[in-house]
Amino acid sequence: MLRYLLSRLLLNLLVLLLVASLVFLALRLSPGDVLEAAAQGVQGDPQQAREAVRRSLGLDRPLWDQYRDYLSDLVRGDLGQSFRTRSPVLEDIGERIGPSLELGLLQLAVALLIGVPAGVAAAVRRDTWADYALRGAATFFLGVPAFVLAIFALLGSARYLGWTPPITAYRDLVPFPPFDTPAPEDPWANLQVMALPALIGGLGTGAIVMRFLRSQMLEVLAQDYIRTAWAKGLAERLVVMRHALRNALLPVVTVAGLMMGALVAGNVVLEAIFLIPGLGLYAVNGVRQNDYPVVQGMTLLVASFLVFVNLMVDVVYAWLDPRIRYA
Amino acid sequence: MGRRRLRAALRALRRKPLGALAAAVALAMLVGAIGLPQPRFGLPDLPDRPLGFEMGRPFLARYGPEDFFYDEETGRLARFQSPSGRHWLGTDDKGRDVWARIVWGTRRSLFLALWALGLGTVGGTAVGIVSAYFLGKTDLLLQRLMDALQAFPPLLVLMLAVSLVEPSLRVLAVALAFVSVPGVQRVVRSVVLSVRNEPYVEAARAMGASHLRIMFRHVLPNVTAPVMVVFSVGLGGAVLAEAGLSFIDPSTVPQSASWGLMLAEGRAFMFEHPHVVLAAGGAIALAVMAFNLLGDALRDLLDPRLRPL
Repeated sequence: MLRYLLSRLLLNLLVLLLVASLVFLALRLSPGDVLEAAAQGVQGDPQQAREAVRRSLGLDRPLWDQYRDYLSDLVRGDLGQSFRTRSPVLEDIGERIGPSLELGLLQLAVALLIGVPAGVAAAVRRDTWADYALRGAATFFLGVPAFVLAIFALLGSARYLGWTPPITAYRDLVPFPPFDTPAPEDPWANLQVMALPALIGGLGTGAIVMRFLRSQMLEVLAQDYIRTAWAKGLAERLVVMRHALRNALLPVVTVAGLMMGALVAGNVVLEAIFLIPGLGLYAVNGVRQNDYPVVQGMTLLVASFLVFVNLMVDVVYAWLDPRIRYA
Repeated sequence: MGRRRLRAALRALRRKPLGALAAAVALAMLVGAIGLPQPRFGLPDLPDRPLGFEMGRPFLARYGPEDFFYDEETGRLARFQSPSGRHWLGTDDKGRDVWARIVWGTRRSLFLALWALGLGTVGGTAVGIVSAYFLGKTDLLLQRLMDALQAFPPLLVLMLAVSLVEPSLRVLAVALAFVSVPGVQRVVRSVVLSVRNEPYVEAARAMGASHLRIMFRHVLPNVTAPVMVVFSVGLGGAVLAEAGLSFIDPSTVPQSASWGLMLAEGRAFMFEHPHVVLAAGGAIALAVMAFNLLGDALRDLLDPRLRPL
């Protein structure tokens, strides 16, 4: 086991090195790089300004030197400074991880609160109208993209409830807000901002949870020990909740854990629509402004998260299920 | 196409009515979006030369995507008109016909998705077969490379692609193909792993067949069914990705009639005139859902082992 763990860790480091190198190369291959944007604010001859900016950002040095410095900074846990604001990327990420995490957790809560009961109900009432309705809803929420749902939800709540989330920049809807608008501190206002994106993202994830749990439950409900439980004359609630759900839930928990990563990284669109100053918005703005260190830092963050969650899931699986052994 | 095949197809339609409906919707979208071939040829380009020849106005569109209209009574630009016999889905802020723009946008979305998934599937199948056939170091390295590719969020890859290279729909198609390779190759690899030790592969090897021949003649046919499933589900993902990118970053994507762009533009006036965002959002949702359902049905019919998550 230890040997397996160590080799997996080494492989993960290899993957991260690959990611770091790929993103570094992809950014440096661009013909019209960051300079245009950065040099715009500078007075005087544009050619000179561009050269000055290039020098100050260290982009005039040979590619190999840049790469070496970049890697040695990485090893020391330094993600560099944003080209635009000159603030350390790691600090920026620390500031923005809060709202993203909050949104992700809220979405996960919605997903589990809706997905688990729906999955159980659909499995227990298999092939009835309830099952069809739930599966239809799941198909709907899996198929309709989050940003379409978000627009429709905004429209609907404004039209029929007379309510829009308390977001200032609402009416003129800049596609990319300046990302210095902080999330409201006041818990009530904060919840109002988060409510719609949490619901929309949560329903999409909940649909996955529901479908997965339903098929797991169907498998478990066909087992012998469930028949035994019925034969003992146990109440339906006991059979379903204690005997079936417990055994069907384990894989769902793992899936939920995996989705947490996708939630934090994958909320780009919802964050942009609802002006939540999280990591998704930060990454998108970084790409738009050709802010290399920001893009590199965010990509590495997402990649490390994915890679290590994967590893953790495998380990937890082996720990929970003694039949699984890794050689 | 023998009679038996036909009967099997009919049985499939009866067993999967929802999948059949989805297939009909997808087909209708495709047919409605293509147009009469024009005698102008060239390398395939999107949106109007996806197959190497120029296409005329889509069959379902009555106007061009940029045609604008004037009000017959007032003589002014016909902005924000409600749906009518002349404009089935009304007009937008520039007096253009919304239905026509939706149909032209269908051409852009569908052919972009088809090209992206076509390229991505070929690439992913090649990687998957080579990786699982040779195993060992080849497999290890290829799989770690795929892990690394998969670690990039798709939307960021697309945004990077249009910000680094001159933005065009060709670039988007290639970037989307790139993004879809890891998912395709994973499925292909798992199938190849299970067939690579079959007796007929061993027999071919014993007869002295080359690796290339074994991979093409004996391994490749096994992966067609799962690849078809991945392809149709992937189409939905590609439509979604293009619409999402056009919506979130409208200024950087190529400016032709596009669902995502319509959604982004319509947002500015959606509270007063919601019909533009409703039409664009509805089109995106319909297309993505149709491809998803089609993929689900195909999966059930072709390969019961691939259970959905």
